[in-house]
Amino acid sequence: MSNKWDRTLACLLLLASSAVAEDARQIVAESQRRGRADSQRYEGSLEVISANNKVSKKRWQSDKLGSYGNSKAIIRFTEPAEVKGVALLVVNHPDRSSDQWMWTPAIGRDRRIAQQDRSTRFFGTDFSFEDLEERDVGQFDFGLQGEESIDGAPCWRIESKPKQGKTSQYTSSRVWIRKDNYVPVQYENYVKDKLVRRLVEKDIRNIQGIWTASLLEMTDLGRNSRTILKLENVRYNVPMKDDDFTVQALRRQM
Amino acid sequence: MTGRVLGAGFWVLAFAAGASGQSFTERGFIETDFIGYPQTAPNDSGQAIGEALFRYEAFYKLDSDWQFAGGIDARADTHEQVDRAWELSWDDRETRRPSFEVRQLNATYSKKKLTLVLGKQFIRWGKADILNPTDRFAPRDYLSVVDNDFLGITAVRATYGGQSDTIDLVWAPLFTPSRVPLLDQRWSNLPPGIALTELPPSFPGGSQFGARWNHIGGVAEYSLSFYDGHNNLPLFYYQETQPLTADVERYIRRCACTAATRPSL
Repeated sequence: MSNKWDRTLACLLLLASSAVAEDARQIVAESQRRGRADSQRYEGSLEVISANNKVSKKRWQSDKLGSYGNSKAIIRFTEPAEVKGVALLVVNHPDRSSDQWMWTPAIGRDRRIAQQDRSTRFFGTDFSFEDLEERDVGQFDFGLQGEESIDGAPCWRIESKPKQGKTSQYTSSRVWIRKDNYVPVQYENYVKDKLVRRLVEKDIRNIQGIWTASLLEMTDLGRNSRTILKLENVRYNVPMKDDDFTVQALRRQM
Repeated sequence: MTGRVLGAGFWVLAFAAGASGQSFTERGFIETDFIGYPQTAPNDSGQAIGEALFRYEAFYKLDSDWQFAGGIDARADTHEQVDRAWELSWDDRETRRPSFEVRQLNATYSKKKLTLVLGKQFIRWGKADILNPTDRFAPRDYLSVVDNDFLGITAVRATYGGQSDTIDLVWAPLFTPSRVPLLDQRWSNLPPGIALTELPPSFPGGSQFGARWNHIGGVAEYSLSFYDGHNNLPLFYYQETQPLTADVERYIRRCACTAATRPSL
């Protein structure tokens, strides 16, 4: 009798944890669904603040075609002069890590960013190459860890772990998603049990019906440096061509 | 022989602007370098070298199909690696760096999957960090081995394809050799006591042709290339005229080669 009761309880717990995991996945999927657009364009203003408070400024233009799962993006630096024209092409896939190429106009070279280099910093910022790829919901396992408020807004706290076969520098991540508009407002990325990077998203505005964070602050806790990215002139559903998101197209842009 | 760099300092003043709207953009910089060597070399007593470079590049986009790029370098140094004659060089065939050089001047036509580039341009087939045996159209300036730069070539380049497969055809009517260390400077590493007379270089005429197919797969890139032209790295022909005296002449070997590469994972 006791054994039968234990098995029933174990089954109920398993079902309950599976339902919680499904809830977490559904929350993330809904968050991604609400952010969908045919394309997105913005001008990014970056301030990289080092551990000794030295500030360097950069600007880039970002174009993205498509949304989670099958999107392509080009980030092209426009300032300062030393990096002007340097560009990164990110081709996201629903079933595996993204492909990335960097174009360096000064030496006329495009270079594929190898998987083992994805954890390195992207051109002196606190974003790694991996941080610039989209996290498709199908490539992670999710678990709802609880509820917390961030800046007074109630949020779900969800843990994600890369599925087997997904290559990532991070062992796990935590994301806080606001309950009122499903916007992710904070990410914490861990290597084993150590918090290595934190991304905070602020200044959330409704742009063309899509709730969009206009200020992103990425902190590299190992280096004790942070990068503040302000999104300016954000526009959705701008006409873009698929042919402009290729390695060949990287070369022909000014 | 000493090859160790004692120290290097540089000062850079960079600027960039997107003047008069989005169709015109420019960038450039002034850079000064100092290189110090702790020892002299048998053929080179210089231990301190100062260099200055001014680079200006401008880009103009006429419409969605056509765009133009131009760039110029102006140089000076203290070690006579830069030619003292104030002449503007286009073909980069000088043994020293020209004081004024057209770095690039080209027109690009893009339509759907076709990109056509005409004029002086940089063409990189190699994708690896160090060793690029298929980089056939990328001569370099090796005058200072510790800091070498690519040289543009005069060519017509047609690229057709999308993201996964591209065909690249290149025709260069004028051969551009790599610039190798000067015989009277430390990187040549010549034995002491031999008087050398350098004859005018024997650089070939004729055109070069290359074709490459590049495939981007799920986990790797592959390319297959063919090149019919000259190896851009000069060799030296040596003829002893008297004991301990010789004539030296640079020459270029022709090569026709096919290569297959898997640049990166």
